[in-house]
Amino acid sequence: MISRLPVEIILQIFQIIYYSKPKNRPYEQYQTLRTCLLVNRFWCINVTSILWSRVFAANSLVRLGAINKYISCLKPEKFQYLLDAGMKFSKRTEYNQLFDYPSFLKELQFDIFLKDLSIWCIENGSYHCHNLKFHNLVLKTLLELFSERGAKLEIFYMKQVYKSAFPSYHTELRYLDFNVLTSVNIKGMFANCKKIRLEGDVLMINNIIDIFTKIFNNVEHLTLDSPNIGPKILQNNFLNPTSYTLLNDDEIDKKQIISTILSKSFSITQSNSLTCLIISQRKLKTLVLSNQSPVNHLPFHHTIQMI
Amino acid sequence: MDNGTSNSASENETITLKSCDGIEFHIDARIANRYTLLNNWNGGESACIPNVNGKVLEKVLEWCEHHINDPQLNCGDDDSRRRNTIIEEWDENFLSCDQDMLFEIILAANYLEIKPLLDLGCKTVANMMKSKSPEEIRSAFNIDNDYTPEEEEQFRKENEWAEDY
Repeated sequence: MISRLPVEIILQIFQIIYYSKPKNRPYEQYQTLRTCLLVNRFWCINVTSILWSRVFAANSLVRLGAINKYISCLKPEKFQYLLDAGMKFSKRTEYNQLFDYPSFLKELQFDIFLKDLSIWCIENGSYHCHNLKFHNLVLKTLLELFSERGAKLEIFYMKQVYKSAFPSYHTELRYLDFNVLTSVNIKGMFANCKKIRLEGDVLMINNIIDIFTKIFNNVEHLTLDSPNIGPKILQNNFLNPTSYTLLNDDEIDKKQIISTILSKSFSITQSNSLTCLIISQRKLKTLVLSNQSPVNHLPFHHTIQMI
Repeated sequence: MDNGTSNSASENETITLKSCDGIEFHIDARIANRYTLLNNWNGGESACIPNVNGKVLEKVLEWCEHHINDPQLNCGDDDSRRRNTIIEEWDENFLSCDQDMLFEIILAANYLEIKPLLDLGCKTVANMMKSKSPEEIRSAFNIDNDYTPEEEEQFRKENEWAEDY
């Protein structure tokens, strides 16, 4: 009987289900886990925290039902605030929640979260609030919800989204207020994040590196995949005016830029925790810095090795 | 763990392990060196392994022997190993046994800290759950449904998003 297996093995089985991604049925794991939590109470307790730990992690899905659930978990005054702002969704949970779903979030693919939120706002905002102000308000409210319920992110990804796949995403990126991430009511959920992956145009967002270095304090594994960085962004984010004068469009060397980013940003705030750094560039070889002990020798460009 | 024993056992060296029901197995010392079985082998004398009976120990040792030349796992490999759900044909045939034996092998692998075999067992059980309804899973694993109909309906609704696609 399966009931003979100790709880840690049962959990391992559920984790295997969740991380499995069969090529022909890429979302099967969500369905299987949902089925598992309906088997009995013991399974439900163990599956729920896994299922809700990485809601925004699989592409090509729109998790409006999960966002509805989060919104329905809001305190009455926060819920009312969204209603006053034009929210049409009105199903706030009145009964006692059996699980504190927002507290389970551990992995966040931020681009997916933003895209799903965008669709949710269009479907659940009244006509006059189809704008970024409402989107910003819902974003802030949900992040505050995760934080106040004690969610502690372990993994944060922000991947490249191609314009053809989601045309409005890039416009929204320019106008969403990412400074909310640094507010005292929110930043705690990012403080112990160990693994970060940032791709492509993410680094083009003004001040984003500055924001990330303020909210992440203990990053161990950092991946920058094809970071797309222009000189203006460099100037705004990383370089003091003196060092910026050393670079112009023709002279900019990707490797030097990467070194600059690292030495001026993440490495300063994460120098006591960072043990693995991977930078991939389409036109360059992959740069990898990996140590067993924290990287505390700065600047990075002395230690980066080409592989 | 060292246990004062050399890690470079030769091919001809054998040790004797004894199951909890007293059955002795003479095995290649390299197997004991590779897994935590070594902890139960106190440096030369035959070791008695509690909690694992002869029938199960025989299966576990058969698996260890087949995989004796597999590369050693590195620290931090746990996640990637678990994400890889492919089960090789030999392993699939090996675990095509009755459910009681499958769970006994999993328990033994857990007790003896043979992580790849534990993962394999867990993957096999995980695969048995796929594409089944809650009722089919209950029936397959002999599990009682202790939900009230209202509770089941509530959980069904609260997690509807996972079924939406």
